[in-house]
Amino acid sequence: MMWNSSVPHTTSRARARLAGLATACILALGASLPAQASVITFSGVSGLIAHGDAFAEAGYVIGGYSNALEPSPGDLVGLISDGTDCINFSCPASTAASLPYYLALNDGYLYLSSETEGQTFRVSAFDASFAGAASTLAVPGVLRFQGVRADNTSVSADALLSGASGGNYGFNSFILPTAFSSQDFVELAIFAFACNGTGSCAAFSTDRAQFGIDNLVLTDTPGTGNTEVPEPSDMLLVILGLFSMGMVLRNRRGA
Amino acid sequence: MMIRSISSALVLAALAASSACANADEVRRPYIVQLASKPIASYDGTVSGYNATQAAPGTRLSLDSADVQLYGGYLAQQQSTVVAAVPAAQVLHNYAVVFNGFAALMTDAEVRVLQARSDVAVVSADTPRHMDTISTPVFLGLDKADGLWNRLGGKGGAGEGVIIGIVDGGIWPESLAFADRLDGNGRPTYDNNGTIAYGAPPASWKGTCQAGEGFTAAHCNNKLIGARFFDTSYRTTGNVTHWTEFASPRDSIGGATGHGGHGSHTSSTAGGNSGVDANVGGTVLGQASGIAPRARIATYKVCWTYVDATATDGTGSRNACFTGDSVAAIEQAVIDGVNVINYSISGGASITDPVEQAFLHASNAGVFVAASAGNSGPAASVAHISPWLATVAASTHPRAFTGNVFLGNGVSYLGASINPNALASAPVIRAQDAALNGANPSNADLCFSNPPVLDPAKVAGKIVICTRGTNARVDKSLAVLHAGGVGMILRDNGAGVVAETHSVPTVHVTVADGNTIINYVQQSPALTAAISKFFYGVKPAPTVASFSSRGPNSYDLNMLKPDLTAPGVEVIASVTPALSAAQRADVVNGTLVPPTAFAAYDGTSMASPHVAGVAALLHQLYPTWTPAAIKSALMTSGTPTLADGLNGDTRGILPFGQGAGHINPNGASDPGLVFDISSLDYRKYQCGMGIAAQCGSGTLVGYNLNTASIAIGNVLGTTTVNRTVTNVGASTATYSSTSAIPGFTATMAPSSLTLAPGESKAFTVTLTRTTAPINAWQFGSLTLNDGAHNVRLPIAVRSGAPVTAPTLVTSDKAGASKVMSVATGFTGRMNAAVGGLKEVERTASTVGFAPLNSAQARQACINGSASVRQFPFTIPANTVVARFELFDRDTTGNGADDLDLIVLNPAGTSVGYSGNDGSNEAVTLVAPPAGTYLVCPIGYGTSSNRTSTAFTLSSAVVTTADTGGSFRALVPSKVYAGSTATVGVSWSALATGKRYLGGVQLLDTNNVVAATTVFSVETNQPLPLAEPVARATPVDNGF
Repeated sequence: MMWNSSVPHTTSRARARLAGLATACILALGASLPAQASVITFSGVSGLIAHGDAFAEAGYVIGGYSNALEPSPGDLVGLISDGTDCINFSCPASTAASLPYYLALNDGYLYLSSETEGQTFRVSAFDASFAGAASTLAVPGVLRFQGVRADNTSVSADALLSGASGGNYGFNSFILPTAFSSQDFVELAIFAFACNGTGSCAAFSTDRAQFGIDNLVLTDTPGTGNTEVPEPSDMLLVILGLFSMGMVLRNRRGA
Repeated sequence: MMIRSISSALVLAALAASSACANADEVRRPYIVQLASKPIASYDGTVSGYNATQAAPGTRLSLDSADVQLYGGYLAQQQSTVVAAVPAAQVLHNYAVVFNGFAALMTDAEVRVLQARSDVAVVSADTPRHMDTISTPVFLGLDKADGLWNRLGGKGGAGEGVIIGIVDGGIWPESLAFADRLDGNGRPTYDNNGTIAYGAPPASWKGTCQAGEGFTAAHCNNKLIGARFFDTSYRTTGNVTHWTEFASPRDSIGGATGHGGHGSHTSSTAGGNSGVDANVGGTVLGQASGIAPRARIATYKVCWTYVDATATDGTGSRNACFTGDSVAAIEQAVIDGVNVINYSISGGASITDPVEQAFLHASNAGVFVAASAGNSGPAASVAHISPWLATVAASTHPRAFTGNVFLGNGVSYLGASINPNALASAPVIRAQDAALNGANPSNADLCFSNPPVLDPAKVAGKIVICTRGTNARVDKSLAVLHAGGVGMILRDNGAGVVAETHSVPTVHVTVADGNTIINYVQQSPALTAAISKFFYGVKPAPTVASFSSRGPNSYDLNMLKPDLTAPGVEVIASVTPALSAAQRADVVNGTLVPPTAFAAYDGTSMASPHVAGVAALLHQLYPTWTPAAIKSALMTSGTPTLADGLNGDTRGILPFGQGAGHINPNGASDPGLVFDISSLDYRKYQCGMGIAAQCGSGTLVGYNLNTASIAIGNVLGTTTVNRTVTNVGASTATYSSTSAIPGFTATMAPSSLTLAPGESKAFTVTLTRTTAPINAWQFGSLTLNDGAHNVRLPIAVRSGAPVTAPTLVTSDKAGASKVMSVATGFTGRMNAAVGGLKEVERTASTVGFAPLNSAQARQACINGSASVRQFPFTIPANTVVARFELFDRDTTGNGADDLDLIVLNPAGTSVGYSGNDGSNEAVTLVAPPAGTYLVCPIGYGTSSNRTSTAFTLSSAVVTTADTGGSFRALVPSKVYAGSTATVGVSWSALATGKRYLGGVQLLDTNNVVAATTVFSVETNQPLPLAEPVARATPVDNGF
């Protein structure tokens, strides 16, 4: 599984090495969880997720959002999927994930923060798949993790989602590189880019940037909490063009 | 879950649904159970421990291998595991080669047990189908010096080594079309002194000659190499077999007493011997030949005639073909080793139909399948819509059997006739001037024979002018004969003249000519006339027959059907004779040498075997071509038909009428390029049509399946179509394209293709709407030309509403959250409105019977009559969907009654008609304008001895004000032109044991409804409902 992190940029050799790790880590996950680690499995919720719907799991608040300029509260951004609820396309095969999983739809993004004010956390691993009608692209989409530190600076890491196999997209397990997983965040946003046949990938401009995600491994940073954190409604993701050009997460309050 | 993509505002379809009959009953009904694993013909080795058994492309499936044995054993074990779950079910057939599953009689409870199993893919109800009721080789150019026959060694070689399997009503083995010897003149004979003309069957042949009533193994020979019959499913119906039937491969008795002849007709058309005198009613009309005259014939009888007092054709019987038996026959034909199958039987409205599935796997086994498009034209009702078979429309051929009427005043008229002997001058009299005392003069005009209406004193020695209508045409000439008349001038009633065998010399003239002749007679009562012997005339041809079912393919608007047209009007071929019951007994006990007969039949049934025959010739010429390659060659070489006088999208010259065009065998033998399709492509196509079990290998939208035609139901601005061609020519060639579609541009990329022999290359065709109006089909073509070959693809495209969404979603869950992908043709906000979920209401009533067609039904719905029940329905503003349904199980006959359903709008115009066999009928109206509508169930007929039936009308009129089950739809913040978006729909806490209807409307930026998805939610553990079968529509019943 390919992966890169924009801060710092991994070398292609590092990518190759991480690719080799990707499958091996599936078995290692359960045994090597840090003492305070939590795994977000989305098992406590169900149904459609509209813009602004949020829920709590394992001490974290997780919400689904639209990044459109004028979203309405009922806009569809996700689904807690049991793998059989897609009507005219195949829901991602849950090979490496567990049912249910979160299906982000229509360019929607997932926003996550601690339930405890001021608590920072780290993110180390997850399972993910592209979602939609199967294409023949080797890389149908890219998943971006964008973490915001307490000082309002941000870093991001990208995962290349694998192409359809046997006509279906399916989950793969990912481990975040140390450069990203060692960072302490107050907020985390997760969204996708949809790629086209010419190799360019775009977020928030097609409704086709969709992904499944599950088993997100989070660890609270010891000794933090009870400091002010931004509210999800204050968040806005802005994309500066194509995937390869990178992007920033803008905190509206700081702008 | 079932998805069909239809973007029409008005959906007239029998939706998958189930009777709301609360009580599951213990009656065992016929079902076909399809298991999840692939059958032998298409098994690709994905089960651990079992090697693949499917044939390599271009080869015929071999069933001799150990791998087949092993995997066959695996399937048998799977089937017994499933059957063990319903131990009391009565298994009728087991299938493994072209279908993995079995046919069985099961109770409702047993069906539900199987539906709940993960190793069962589909349980479908078995339904009876109908048969879609020569000189054509010359018209097709087969006998030209450079024609296909000569390239295969002439009539004596064309079809050699190829086996055509006919799944139909059996065969009349005495017909010389099926003899394997030649007499001293080189003509077919059964005389044992003749010379054996055929060697042993091909070594690969594994079939047999099954004995039965009036049929022994000795009836097969080296021409008719196999004969079997399949009646296990039929015999469970409880029908009483009609006396004209034989419990054997023998075709049943024909003429006016039975339904026989069809199987012999299709068999002799596809592969009957050449040089057989076509003797129609005593007149030799010439020598007949099958299209592949040296092919071997194997017959698989699946259609049976049974007693039915309500038959309207005077035979007191009907004929039907049962799905369970048909699948068994197709499976056996593939096992036996046929190369081509002809299926001139109705059905095939969906690709999941068991017969269509069997044909998929037959095609994967290397067997070409031709099937009839149906006789329900000119309505858009084309049958057999699967891409893996060739769907054949019917058109005319140019040979006309004509005769002259010479009037004594020197004027002559040309009409239809096969009168064998010229009639010298005789006085002429109008029939109404020759009425018997007391006879109704208008009945006299119609020339009834019984009771007689013509006065012998006035008719003797004269030529009588009779008028067509009410009684059979041949009854009129019989009346003239009985009254001592010597000839008949038959004045037409506008239905079109027919040449046939009459009791006295007869010429059938047009209405206009008939009226002119009558004028002359009235002016000069002493007028005389003479009638010529018949002669061969020529009429402009081909034109697509009006009865031939038209496209579009309502199952998939992105797949063009029909594929081709071929002769299907006045086709003369071998049939079965009219015999008495005593003669039949003598055939059975062997004391009567059965006579033979020829007859002219009309129907797409007659067209399909022409294509089967040409496919046999192409298979002989190119043994490694796949069935898809053969079909491609037939399509790209098709020639245009002539205008048929119809209007709009039903015009025969359009792809919806003629498909790719009229078959052109010589052109097909050198097509230049072929569009080939693999079994994997078919799997992807099925996935794209919503069959989740086929989604292991990817998906494909219909217009991207590599057919030699292009249909797109909704071009949202621009649509790009993928195609791949293979050069089957002898030399490297460079092809460039020309195209013409009104209101669209079609651009091929790359703009030219250079291909070495055998090389394949992909290209795209990008269709962009320019000036075409919205929601109107546009027709054109794309032609690839290399200077030597014209490779022509028909195109049918339409730009519709700016959103394409699934038409129908079914679910049996009391609560669910679902997401569906929709294609969007604009950028901005797409809103949604929902109606429902609303419980379906049931209203009980009764109705009488009368066989009304759709036009009569409309009038009766307005006027009211005993055979129609009127239900006024108020459709409020903001109605999302309205659906009206009838079910077999809600009628007194419980399957024996045939009810239809028509819906009229406030102006009295029919906005929905459902006129299938049986009483499973449904009309769905999407976003109907407000007003008072009339919904009329119609009692078409019954096979039981009643004058009326009870029924229950199921109805739901759902508006945006109807809420239930917290039904809601969520849309994205914004949609993008040329992209897709996901819409979420959810409901919860519905009561169990009920049926609900709802709809989701997707609105464009002006809040106009751009697409509607109907949600049919049934929490009553719905049973599979039989696929609707069009009522048998004889195209000419002799009247």
